[in-house]
Amino acid sequence: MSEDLDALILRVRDLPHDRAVGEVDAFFTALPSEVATALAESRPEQVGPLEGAPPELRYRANRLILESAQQRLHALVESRDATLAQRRRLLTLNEMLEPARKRLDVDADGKRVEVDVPRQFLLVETEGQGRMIEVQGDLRTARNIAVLVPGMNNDLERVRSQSVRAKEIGEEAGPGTATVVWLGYHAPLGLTEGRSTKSAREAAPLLCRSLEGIAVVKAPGAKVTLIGNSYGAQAVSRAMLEGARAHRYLLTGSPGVDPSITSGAQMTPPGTELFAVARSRGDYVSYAEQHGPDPATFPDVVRIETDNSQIQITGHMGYFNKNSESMTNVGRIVRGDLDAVTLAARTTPAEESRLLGTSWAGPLRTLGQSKAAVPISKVFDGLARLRTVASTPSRKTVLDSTRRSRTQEGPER
Amino acid sequence: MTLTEARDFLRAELLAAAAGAVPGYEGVVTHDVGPVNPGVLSDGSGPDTICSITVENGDPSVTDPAGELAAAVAALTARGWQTAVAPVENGHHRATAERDGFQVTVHAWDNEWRLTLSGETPPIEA
Repeated sequence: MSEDLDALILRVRDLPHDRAVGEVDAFFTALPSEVATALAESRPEQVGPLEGAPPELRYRANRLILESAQQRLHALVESRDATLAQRRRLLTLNEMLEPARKRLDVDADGKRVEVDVPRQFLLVETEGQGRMIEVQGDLRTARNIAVLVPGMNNDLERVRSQSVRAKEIGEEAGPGTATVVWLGYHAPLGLTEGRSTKSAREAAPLLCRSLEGIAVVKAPGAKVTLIGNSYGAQAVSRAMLEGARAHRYLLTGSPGVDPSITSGAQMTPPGTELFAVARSRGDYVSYAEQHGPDPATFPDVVRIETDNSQIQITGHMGYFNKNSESMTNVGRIVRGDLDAVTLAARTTPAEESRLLGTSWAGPLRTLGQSKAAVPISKVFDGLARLRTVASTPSRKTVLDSTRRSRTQEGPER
Repeated sequence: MTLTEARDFLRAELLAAAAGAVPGYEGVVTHDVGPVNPGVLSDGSGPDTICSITVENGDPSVTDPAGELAAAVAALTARGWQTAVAPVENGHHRATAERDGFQVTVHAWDNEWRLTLSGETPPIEA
């Protein structure tokens, strides 16, 4: 059976995404469940990331990969041979192995019970920068599925923050929602890398295949919303250009798609229900148009409102702020309440960035696309690296955390 | 106020409001993982400056989204929160509350017995 799996992986590698996941799905459907489980447990490195394989098997396989990496790093930390990066990584793996949440449910007698919700990963890459795809909810039964692609400076160490944002989107979208944090790519680390579209171009086929993997397991009629924020919007846009299969698309704080893309029609895959964008007042990333015209300027997209009477968002970082109109609209889009989505006025960057009678959006775009942006990016990247070193946890903190994760106590409260 | 104190305050407020919303039942902390970076989706390199906490409550034999949401809002208002109830949107009952930079959202849904109270501290640097 192990040889059959190897042959399958080799065969589907270069197939079109839908055919590849179809073949993988057929392979596992034909297996008795105990054989499939045994395969996931004996070959976790192959089954864990395999799009089209049943999610339950992939969750199991990826947990085994995490446990194995945890054991390896724990030994290094205990023997004082671990680098600072390995110490940080062990803390991250410990968190990924703990149940992050509970839910209220009803037992067979109709009584209310608290249930631990285990973490579910469709992908874990524990070496280097790391990658992961986390699912919150049930992909098989969800009526709505949100796939969230984070932007730059996101490595495995940021999984906790990413998961919290996914949790909040799930709460806004309501019961019957599954959310997927898709860090299945190596996001650019720093402004210097972020000035290139390389990461997004590499992400696009991976994201397309993941969406096909979701399509093959989701309930008939379930709708998928693909959300890209900041550089994640660049990755989603590249995937859309390659025919990524979702029903609704939302780009927030986009740095642009490509210099040649000036309308939604050029990038919207067939069958799209909604192509929406958001740009808040003063979003310097969107104004800079590093990678092409800002989709918020396209004439044929839905531009959603970001502000309400209580909360006004400014700058680039607030699209998912609690109780903001943009976050409320994200929930509406994910659950398909499209008539309730509130729309923004079609203001221009010049109008939004006027300060003391002068607009700064135009000069920013000129600076961002000039040679001067290169050394400025390097200075910012150097400062960010210093902050990472300063926040490295102590050896004792990491070892305590490992003990806690192994006893399944869950997060501190 | 430190971030730890803010987290403890928020958790206590959510639990108090949850208890006020559902007679005979205490709320349950379903999510509270500690400090996170609020801007992570834009830039992962930012510091962990907020805590996000979710509390659920509900009586499995009772489905009363409007009543439970109103009771949660009343409890929050009595505790000094500025509250606002949104019009019901396709079965989504939603209210918001703000106090000193803390934000809370209360969600209830038609045909759903669980009430969700979700809160976030203001950003506080360590």
